[in-house]
Amino acid sequence: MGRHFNYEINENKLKIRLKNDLKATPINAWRNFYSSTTHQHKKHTNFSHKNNVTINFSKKVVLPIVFCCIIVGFIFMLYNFVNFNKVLAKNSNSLNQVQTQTPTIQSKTIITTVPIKSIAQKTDSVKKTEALTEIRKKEINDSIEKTEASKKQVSLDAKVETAILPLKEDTQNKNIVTIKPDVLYSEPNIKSPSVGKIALSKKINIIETTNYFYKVAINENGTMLTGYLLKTSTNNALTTYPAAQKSKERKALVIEPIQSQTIINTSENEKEIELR
Amino acid sequence: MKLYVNEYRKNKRKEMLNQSDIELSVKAEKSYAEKLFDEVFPQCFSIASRYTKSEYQSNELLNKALSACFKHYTHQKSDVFDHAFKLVFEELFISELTQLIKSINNEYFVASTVHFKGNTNEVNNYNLFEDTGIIDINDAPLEVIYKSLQQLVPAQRLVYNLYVIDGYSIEKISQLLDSSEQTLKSNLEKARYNFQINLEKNLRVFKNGQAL
Repeated sequence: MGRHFNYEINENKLKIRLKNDLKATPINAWRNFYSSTTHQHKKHTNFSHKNNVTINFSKKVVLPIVFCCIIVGFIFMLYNFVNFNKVLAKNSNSLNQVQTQTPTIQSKTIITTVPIKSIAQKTDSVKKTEALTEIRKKEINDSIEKTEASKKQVSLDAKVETAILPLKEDTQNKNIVTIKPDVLYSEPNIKSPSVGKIALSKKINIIETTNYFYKVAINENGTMLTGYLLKTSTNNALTTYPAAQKSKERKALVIEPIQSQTIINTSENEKEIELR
Repeated sequence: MKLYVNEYRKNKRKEMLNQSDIELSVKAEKSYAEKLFDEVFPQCFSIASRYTKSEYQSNELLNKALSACFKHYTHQKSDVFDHAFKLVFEELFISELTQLIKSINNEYFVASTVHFKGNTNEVNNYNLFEDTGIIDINDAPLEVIYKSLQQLVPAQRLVYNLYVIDGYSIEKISQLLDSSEQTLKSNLEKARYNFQINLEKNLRVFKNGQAL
């Protein structure tokens, strides 16, 4: 207890004193003792029948059980979170859809589910199913043929459209009259070389149309001339020009320079500030 | 039916006889126990008052420990209570009592720390006519010694009683209290220090005529 502490008690003396000290027995000591012991005994006897069955749970047994319960509870909680019922319902719905989409499977199921009493009925049902399958096969073949035919038609139409694309129904084989004398171009381009000239107010047959030109055939002096004529030089009211996408010339903003007023006093009157 | 009734009556008679035998034996046992109690009680009472924290607890645990000890001597009918017998009984009683004290968990497992207050800054008083307050601890009255022992923490009290007063070895105490020797030694050191302080304090109180 530290070097400053001096243990001053003589233990031997203390031991002898305490050992020799015998306390006098009180008068009611035995009665108290006997009553307390009998009371305890009575308590034990009263509860002896109830305490016959004693189940001792050791830690080795209890702890694993508790942990197992916790783990199982956790798994159950996770299972509830996932909720497999919804997934099953979805699957069942999809299965139903598939069944409705495929009639052949339904017929098969009907055959299996309906009880057949006699062989005749069985054969009839087989025949019926065979007939049904044949009819369905035919239907399917027809539908395939139809689809193929429609495909062919579609392809032909596409070809036709591509071929007639430059000509429009309104302008096909239509006569037009020239408003002013113009030049026939070999190609639908102004810069292309000219094939011939067309006089004013002349009737012409249109073969093809482009955006700005008509492909025309003219009979001049017994020779057939084919070339492109500008739409502007004809009287055709149907001629519609695509909106000329004129790019607007945007003028660049010219920012005028601001003339800053720089006043520089060069007078000698002003004194320089002295630094202190 | 008659046979069954006869058998039932016979069994009843047997039970009655057995009960009477038990009562007689209980009476005989009671007489022996009373004698034993009278012989052992003063010694046990002093031990119990040393080992416990108060008079009430000492009475309570004394009865319990004695009843536990008496179970070992139920079949012994000799009325010879010599010194050797008393020593054996005392050992048994101490072991029972320590177990009972140890079973009071809320009291036994109390941590106790000792903060030494040294007298390094104290100025020595050389005035011979003034009361210095020095007390002769070895001539202290028993009442004060019991009180200062009871004021110790149970773990320290048990070790101090077992080692210093009853003369048990540290190994035996460690087996009895189910604790390591190192803790017992440290507890003993603390108990010595605390006991002296308690004794000094209680002696001052006793000297001044105040109630302990």
